[in-house]
Amino acid sequence: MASPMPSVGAMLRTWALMLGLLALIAASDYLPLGPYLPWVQFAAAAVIVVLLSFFWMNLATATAAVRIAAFSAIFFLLVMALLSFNDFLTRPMDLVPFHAPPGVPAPR
Amino acid sequence: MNAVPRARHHDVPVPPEVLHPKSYLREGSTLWSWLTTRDHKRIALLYMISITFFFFIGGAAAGLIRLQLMSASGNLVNDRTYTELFTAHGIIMVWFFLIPSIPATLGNFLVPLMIGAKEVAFPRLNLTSWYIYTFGGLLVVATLLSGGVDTGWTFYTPLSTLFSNTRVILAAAAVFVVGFSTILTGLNFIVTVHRLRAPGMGWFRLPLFVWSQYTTSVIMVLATPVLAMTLLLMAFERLTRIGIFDPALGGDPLLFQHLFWFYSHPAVYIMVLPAMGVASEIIPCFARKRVFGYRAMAYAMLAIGAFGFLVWGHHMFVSGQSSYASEVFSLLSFIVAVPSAIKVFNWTATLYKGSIELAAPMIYALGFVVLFLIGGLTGLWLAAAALDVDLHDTYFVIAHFHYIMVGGTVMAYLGGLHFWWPKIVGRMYPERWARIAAWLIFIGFNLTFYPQFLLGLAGMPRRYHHYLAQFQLLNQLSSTGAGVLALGYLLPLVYLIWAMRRGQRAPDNPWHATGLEWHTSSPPPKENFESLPRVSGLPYDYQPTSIGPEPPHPAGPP
Amino acid sequence: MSTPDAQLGVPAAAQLAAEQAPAEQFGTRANQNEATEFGMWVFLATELMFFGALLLGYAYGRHLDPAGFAEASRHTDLVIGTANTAILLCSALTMSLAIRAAQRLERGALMSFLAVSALLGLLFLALKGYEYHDDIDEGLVPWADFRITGVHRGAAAMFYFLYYALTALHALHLSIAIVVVLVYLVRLRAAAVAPYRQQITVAALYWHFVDGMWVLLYTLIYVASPRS
Repeated sequence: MASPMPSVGAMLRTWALMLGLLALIAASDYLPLGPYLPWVQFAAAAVIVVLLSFFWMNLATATAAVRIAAFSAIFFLLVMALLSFNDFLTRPMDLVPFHAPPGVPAPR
Repeated sequence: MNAVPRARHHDVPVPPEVLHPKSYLREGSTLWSWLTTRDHKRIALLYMISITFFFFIGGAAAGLIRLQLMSASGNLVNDRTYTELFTAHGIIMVWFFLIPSIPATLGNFLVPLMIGAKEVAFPRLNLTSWYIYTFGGLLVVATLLSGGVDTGWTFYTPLSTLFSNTRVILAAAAVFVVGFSTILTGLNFIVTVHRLRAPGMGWFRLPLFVWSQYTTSVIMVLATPVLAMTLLLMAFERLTRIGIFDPALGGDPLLFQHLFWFYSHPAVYIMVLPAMGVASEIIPCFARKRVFGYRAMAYAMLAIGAFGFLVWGHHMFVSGQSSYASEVFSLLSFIVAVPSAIKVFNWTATLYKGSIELAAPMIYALGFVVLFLIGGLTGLWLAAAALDVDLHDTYFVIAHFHYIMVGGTVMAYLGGLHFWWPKIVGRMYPERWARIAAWLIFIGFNLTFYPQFLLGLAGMPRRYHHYLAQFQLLNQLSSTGAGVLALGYLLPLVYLIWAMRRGQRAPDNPWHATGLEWHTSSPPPKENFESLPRVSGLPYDYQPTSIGPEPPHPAGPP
Repeated sequence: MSTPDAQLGVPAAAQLAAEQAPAEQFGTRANQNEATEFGMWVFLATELMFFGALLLGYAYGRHLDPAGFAEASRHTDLVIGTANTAILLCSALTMSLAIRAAQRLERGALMSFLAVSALLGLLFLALKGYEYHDDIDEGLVPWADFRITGVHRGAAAMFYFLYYALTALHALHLSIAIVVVLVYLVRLRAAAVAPYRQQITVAALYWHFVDGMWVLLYTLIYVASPRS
């Protein structure tokens, strides 16, 4: 059996916190956050996901194997992103569309 | 010629029964009982039949390719058919043979036996994965029958999305579907190894074959979904002409290549890690020595599995990827050679002062080590970015990865089939024929692919249906080798099937091997063990004959 | 692992005895429970990687043309998106309450919470469908008369391509989750909780994964640009 779920009060508090963070994300578009905008949003979203997975999916009390399974996927996603961006960030990329050779249907 | 290879210390009397009375093969003989089975051993045989079918289809395509290349002008098939042939060869061999080869057959059969479990964790899922594989197989057959596909097995955009007018979507659907069977197999093995080990079977008492299956499963579970999504995106882009890969639409074909190789390079390790596991079982047994550096072997496999995810960019050195990225990928690719070298070193050290017997499985296993070594070392050439610019898309690359995937994996797969055939069917294979076949395969393989190294160095590009006259002699040597190789592959097909009915009855442990699978009957009963085994020692408890008799089995009744 | 079973009364204990015997390969019920839970987590890891390819595509596009992605994001419906996120967070709460009820073998509460979760899921899908309808009306379909033109057209088209791919994939996952919940509701009509308690707990993991994934998608899709 999975670990016991938190008490109803704890759940309601977690839920309220989640909704608050959601409100923060939604409002962030209207706040003068400048370049910090995405970071605030991602941090808030990450907190929601952590609350959800740690306390409602019981990751906090899960066995080591379960935690390894959860984090290995995140780790290898990060590897994928890091090494791909290792390329994207170090090569010139521009917005001018590639010109298709003659005879190739143009994009609609 | 049908003799059990010389029994060493004690001649085990062969049991009088034709088959063990409780053999899993006797639990129903109707087709329906096979198609609805949940028994991991029977599912292994279902997979074996399926992948053998695709092995020979893919092999037939390879045969036609080599026939075509007998002459420089290449008159057998036209360019388009040739392209479709090597695409079919690649797709079928990679996804319908090599990836499921050892895990889905030997792995399915052996992982529960080796860890002392009665079943895999999710038997129904296991059967489902075979049905998914079969459905994917039907799709690939439909692709072939409806005209084939000409993108190469890599489905590179924008060739696949814009230019190709062949059955790209059908082929991608086949690969997409078969990927899910891989994922389910991997998921099953991971949970099985974690939760179903027998009492006393700690992680560092696991046979290295189980370690290899475990690592492979992790790669399957984490890499395959990325391929599935990538192919889905490719198909969608082809259909709607909108997407993220086509530069005309603001996309980036290199994004496709990054995603594709994020899966497909680890996929190489899906193919070769299980082969390493097989070699790690066979070599200690036929050298009568404990495997050298057990923990290093286990950690090396985990390291290969992890580093395998970091090196994909070495497939893209000439793709337009930034040179900085190429340098990083090049460096990381060199690092993955370290654990691979540890393994080769440890296999060699296991042989040192062992009582080596060149029985058929051992010939295959040693052949695997030699061919893997050559393939791995030439891999270092290709990992060097500057050199790769010269060798990219030449036959050097073809030879390199065939040394790993065919020389490595197929050799080990066949070695494993021979090694465990007595356990699987309860009868011995004909040893002399098996040795002949092993040598034929080893010689035929080298004759086929060694000339391709030379062709590549001389500059012959891959994927063309004809070539310059100066390459003809080496190509003819290669094609001759392919003929020898084909004969070598057909022999086991014949005598292993023959042995199922006519082979000499196998004792429970014909090789005097350690490992739990040898402590149950041949073939095992449906529930694998008469009583649940209890493990109290390390694996590979072999001792050279010169030192003394072997210690008692590590596993006994509880 | 500690369980709340100790706090349960005698009738509940009798129910527990009726919990299915473990499948033979697992030996004990506890081992089977941990194995199925672990198996679900491994599957969720797979699912995350499945979404991962699309997420990398998103990161690529946003890196290539941040302004284009911002402009495209401004055309999304923030109200529906936020409402839908709130709905899914509520469903996550009710699903957690359902697990709690299942652990305590409270059949009535379990069925109510499952039903509410399924309804919230359906509400999400209905709003999502309405939003798709609006998107199509507003010319936000990149393969048919795309409304955003100019230098950012390429990136915006990519954004909407990923928007449809990600949200449709998510909707597919949510639909599967709803069907699973409905199946357990039907089964529970004529059965005790105990035999299904572990299965529902594991299915809830999937539900929560779908919710968490949506929070991520919401952040990537709806709020990628300042709107003030």
